[in-house]
Amino acid sequence: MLCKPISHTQGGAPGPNAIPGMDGGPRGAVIGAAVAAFLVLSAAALGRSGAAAVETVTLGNGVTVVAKQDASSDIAGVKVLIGVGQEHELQEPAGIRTLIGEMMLKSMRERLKESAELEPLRRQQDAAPDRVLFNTGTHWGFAAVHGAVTSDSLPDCLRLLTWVVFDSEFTREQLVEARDALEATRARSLGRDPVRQTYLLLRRALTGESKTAMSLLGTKESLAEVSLADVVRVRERLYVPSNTYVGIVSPLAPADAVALAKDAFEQRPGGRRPAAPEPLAADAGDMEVQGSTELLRLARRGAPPPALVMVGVPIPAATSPDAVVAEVINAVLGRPGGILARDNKLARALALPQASRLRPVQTLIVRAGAVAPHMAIHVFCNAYNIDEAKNELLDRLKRLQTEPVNEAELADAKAFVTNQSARAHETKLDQAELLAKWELLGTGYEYDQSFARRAMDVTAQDIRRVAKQYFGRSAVAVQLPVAP
Amino acid sequence: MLSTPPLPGAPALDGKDVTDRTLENGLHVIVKSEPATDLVAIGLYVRAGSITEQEWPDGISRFVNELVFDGPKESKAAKIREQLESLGGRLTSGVTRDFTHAHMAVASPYLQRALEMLAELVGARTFAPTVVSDVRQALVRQLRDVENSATAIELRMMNLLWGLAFERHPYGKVLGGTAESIGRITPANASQYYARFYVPNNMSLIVVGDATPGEVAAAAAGTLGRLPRKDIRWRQPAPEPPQTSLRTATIPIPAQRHAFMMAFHGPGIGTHDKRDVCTMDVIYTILGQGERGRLIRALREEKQLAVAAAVEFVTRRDPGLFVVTCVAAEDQELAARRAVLEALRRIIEEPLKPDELAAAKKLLRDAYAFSNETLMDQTGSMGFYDCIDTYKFAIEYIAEVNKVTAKDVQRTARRYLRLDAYTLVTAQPTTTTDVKKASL
Repeated sequence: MLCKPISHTQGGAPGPNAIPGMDGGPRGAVIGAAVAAFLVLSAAALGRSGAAAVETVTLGNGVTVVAKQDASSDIAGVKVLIGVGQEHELQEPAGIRTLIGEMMLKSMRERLKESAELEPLRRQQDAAPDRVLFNTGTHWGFAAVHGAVTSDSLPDCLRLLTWVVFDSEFTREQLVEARDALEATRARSLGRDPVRQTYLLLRRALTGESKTAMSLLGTKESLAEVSLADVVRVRERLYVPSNTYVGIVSPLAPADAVALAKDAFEQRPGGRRPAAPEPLAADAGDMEVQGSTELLRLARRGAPPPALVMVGVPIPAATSPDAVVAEVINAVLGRPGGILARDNKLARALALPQASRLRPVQTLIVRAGAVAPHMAIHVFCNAYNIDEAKNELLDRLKRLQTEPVNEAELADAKAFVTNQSARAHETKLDQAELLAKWELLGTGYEYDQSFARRAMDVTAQDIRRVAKQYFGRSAVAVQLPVAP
Repeated sequence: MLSTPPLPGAPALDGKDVTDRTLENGLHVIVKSEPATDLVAIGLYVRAGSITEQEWPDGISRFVNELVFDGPKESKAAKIREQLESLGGRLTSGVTRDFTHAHMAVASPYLQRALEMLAELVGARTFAPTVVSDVRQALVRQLRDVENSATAIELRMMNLLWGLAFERHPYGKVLGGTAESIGRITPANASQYYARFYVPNNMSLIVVGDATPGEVAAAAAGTLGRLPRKDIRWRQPAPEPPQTSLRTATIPIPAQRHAFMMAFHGPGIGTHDKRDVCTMDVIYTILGQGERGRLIRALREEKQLAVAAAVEFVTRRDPGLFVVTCVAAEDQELAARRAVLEALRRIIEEPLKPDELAAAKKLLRDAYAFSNETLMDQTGSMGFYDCIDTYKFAIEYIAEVNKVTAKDVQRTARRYLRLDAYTLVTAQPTTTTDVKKASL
């Protein structure tokens, strides 16, 4: 067998501050040295993969299937996305989607363990014991269920996922266990991460609506309110075929994969597509929200206490031709070695000990859910320099509206977006998720295939225009350390 | 449940579009064109690992790997890495007993630039004494933490196991070194080791993804292809003499738990029939792949003798080790060791039923498919085998596994799984001192 070397990883690995459910956009930035320009590429140099065979079809019951052939390996990745976002949850107990996801996961595990028919899938798990082949997830804009198998098990995998999403029966025992599991997850993730906590404040500042600041995991109290009847009702109303998007990436010809999906999904009655509440605009108007957390007492003895400043601005929707411009702006500002990482004023404002485990600067983009698309930028700073850090971030956003980004900066940012986009396609599941996600967001799967080309076409004028149009209003969240 | 006819899937690792050539400077370039995405995965493999450390301090391969690909802040390596990250790329590197590797993944239009960066990292480097000192300090600190850590028991046991099993061969050296051995590395040592092994005729470049062989050749020619060829001057290690008796050692641990590792000398791909290597993989699969391997089941479920168990056999250039690791249930250490020996005896003496052999082959095939899912995985497989034999074995592997017969399994098990001549390392609570003998 192959060997597992002693290895270390640089770059690319998700940092401790990644927020689950964030979709799209480059992640993370570290203050570092200025970078050399990559080769300036023309859009024509990109996109051979546009020729990959893809087929999309909407089944009779409304399930949208996108199948892509990728014969580079024998693995098939299936991502089922259900268009149930936080916007659907605003009238329900917070966290109910995650609770449903957890219950689906429990059902899936039990079926995998007990069903004689699923022996081939159990063997798949034996073949890849270090990987979670079957899982569920909850994001701001959708719920997800997925499986990764060798291609001969694709029919079984599709049937299992169909059953999990539409047919599995929930029990009271599962509900209790799922609540406990979410409680443990909350303690493990949100409860230890000041960035996640601050991002929730920012959602409130962006919309002026406190419900949008509820964690995907809900709260102990909100989950305690949920009854089995609630879970069943919400699932029956929202988790319906007409609200479901299936991405399949496998070595099979797309038509064959679509036929298998049809076999698995088309038997389910369609149900009415649930109305999608409009997301709340992300420009409530220069609102600032403050919070405080014990988690910011991380500095060494004698060092100034750290605080966290996060600024949010609206960005173009996924369906806008300018959506890709926001991705490039995100990279201009927030990539490692980008404008913010090289910003001297910001560096002075940070004034944090080098040994801090926190990433000083990070940007991210959220495209779906209860809050309209927005970009969030955060810096960890010295708690005595909050205003300086905040003003510098806001000033940077203003300058994008008036000063053109220089060509070298732009070329590097486009290289970053292009490379990140390519790397986001590493596994079959990664690819399947992107296909299904762009269908769900209304751009069509083609968006994924043309993304890199579009990024290379972005000009400095585009950046100025989009910044002018969208960055006029901003929201700020400030997280202070708890006083000793 | 399958109602559809067999699906036209793909091979676990398809060799259809794989080409290779050796550049004038001796760099072996292997290309697998896969245009389904815009991604290219790049692997650079250097034949430098424990096996080349005979005359050097343990862990010098890791030390030089850190210098070349990582390095402290402000070093050349760190700056190149920052450039790569700023452009959205990614670099990983690591060391094994047989080789050092570095992997990158970039969008295909950036292949040329990525190879330029790799050439800058591995070619014509000099290491300032301060940089060497910084790396040494960081590694020594890290290793001391591990050596003093109560949770690094498995690593300490593994190091002891390999050291005990190999009396002459450098596989017995501590992979990655110890705080003491790393502390002895000087700037002169590091530079000499680097100059000897980081030469193009001792490297393989593997590119998998959205690039044609012509594009890779053009990009490599102006970058890694320019590195000067040099004599490697490496003496192959003498074979390890056959182990003829049981070797044991114990490490005390501050926990009320008994753990043990048992190691048997296996075949090497560079020194034995490849059928033996594939057969050992089948044996490994039957005994320990996943939750339902015979041995795992016997130890954990049927007899509840263990709380954790694993079987490992990694193919190496020279003969390596087939290792069983077990954390015994309370008061069950001896019984667990007996169960391991009993499971091995069954493999040796009882012919496999055809359905069990077929199931093991299918499981091994699927495991291989999963371990070759991504383009990066595939550079890993081909680079791995090219360093210890030939990349072609990565492609032919499953066909070779399919040739294994039940007789091969018995023959190979009998040859390598010597129940009277293995190495045993136990970890016992500090109050226990003697190793009891387990026999069938």
